[in-house]
Amino acid sequence: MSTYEAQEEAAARERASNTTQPPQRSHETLATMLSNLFTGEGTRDLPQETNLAAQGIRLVGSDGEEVSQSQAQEFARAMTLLQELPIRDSLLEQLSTQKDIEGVSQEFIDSLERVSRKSLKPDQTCSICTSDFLDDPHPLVVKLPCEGNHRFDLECIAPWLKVHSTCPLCRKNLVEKKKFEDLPVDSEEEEDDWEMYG
Amino acid sequence: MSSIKRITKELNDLGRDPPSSCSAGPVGDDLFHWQASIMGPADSPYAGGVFFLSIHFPTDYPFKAPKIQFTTKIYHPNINSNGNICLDILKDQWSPALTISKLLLSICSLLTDANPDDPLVPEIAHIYKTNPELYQKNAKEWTKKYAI
Repeated sequence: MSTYEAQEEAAARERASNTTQPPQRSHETLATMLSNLFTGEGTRDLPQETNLAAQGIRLVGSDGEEVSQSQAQEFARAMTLLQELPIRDSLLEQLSTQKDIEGVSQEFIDSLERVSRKSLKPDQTCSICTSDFLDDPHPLVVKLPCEGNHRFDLECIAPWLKVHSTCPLCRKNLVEKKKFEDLPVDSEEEEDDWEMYG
Repeated sequence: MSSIKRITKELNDLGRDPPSSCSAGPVGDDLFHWQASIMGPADSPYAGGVFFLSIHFPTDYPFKAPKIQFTTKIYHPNINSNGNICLDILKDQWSPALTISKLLLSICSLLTDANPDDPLVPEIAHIYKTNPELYQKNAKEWTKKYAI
């Protein structure tokens, strides 16, 4: 693993050789990167054309107070830097799939729709263990809320969903639906409301 | 589901229905360490060569990707001198629905169609893009030298 990652980093550095930034670890999050920027770590040569006032931009902090010019500049520089980073795309992707990395909740797994033994055909297999569902005399099969309603042994899909929120077959992210499910509703209602959010 | 069970299943399936142009199996008694071979695709400069790869399964396979490296030297934009392969399904696009058989087929198609826009060896990628004849020539030479 480490050698491979090292190679990846080397390749990323290669691509970034026109910038002066130090090597970025691929798993660095935007948050840590921004915090490093603000604390002065990893300071780089930055373009100076970030005078916000000159561009007529005013930034307001969470307390409603306008943030100082220097703070605003710092932020703008961070943003400019982010725009220029060769790993920007992967960072953005990581941000947008943050939940994907975290996986789904146990409640989500518990609420997956079961598939009855009767509706299983002899040639249908679980693509994780690659065994026929009916090899097991008491199969516990679930279907995912993806478009293909892909089916897996619960025993096989559960460990995957704990760390990834995607269907192994179509890569559909199952988390959007999970968000609604997080609302405090009782389980009866949850079933009924499912269609509405689909 | 245990990794041993899944790996054993894959081994049996490979024996029963071997993919054309690839083979794979354990090295010695260690079920978690395999060797694989790929025949250079006919429509590529690797034709005629046999390329060996090592496969290491993580203990939590198939929930983590296996580590696959070429042990035969190969001239390719996405494979470096250590044999590391730049292929998304071996990294972040891994899925437990993938198998060694599918991975080897994907590697075969990577040999036919390199991905010079995501290179592991920028120099080879550059030649691949700017001077395809030279790339073909170099790849054929390496194949002859290391894989035949």
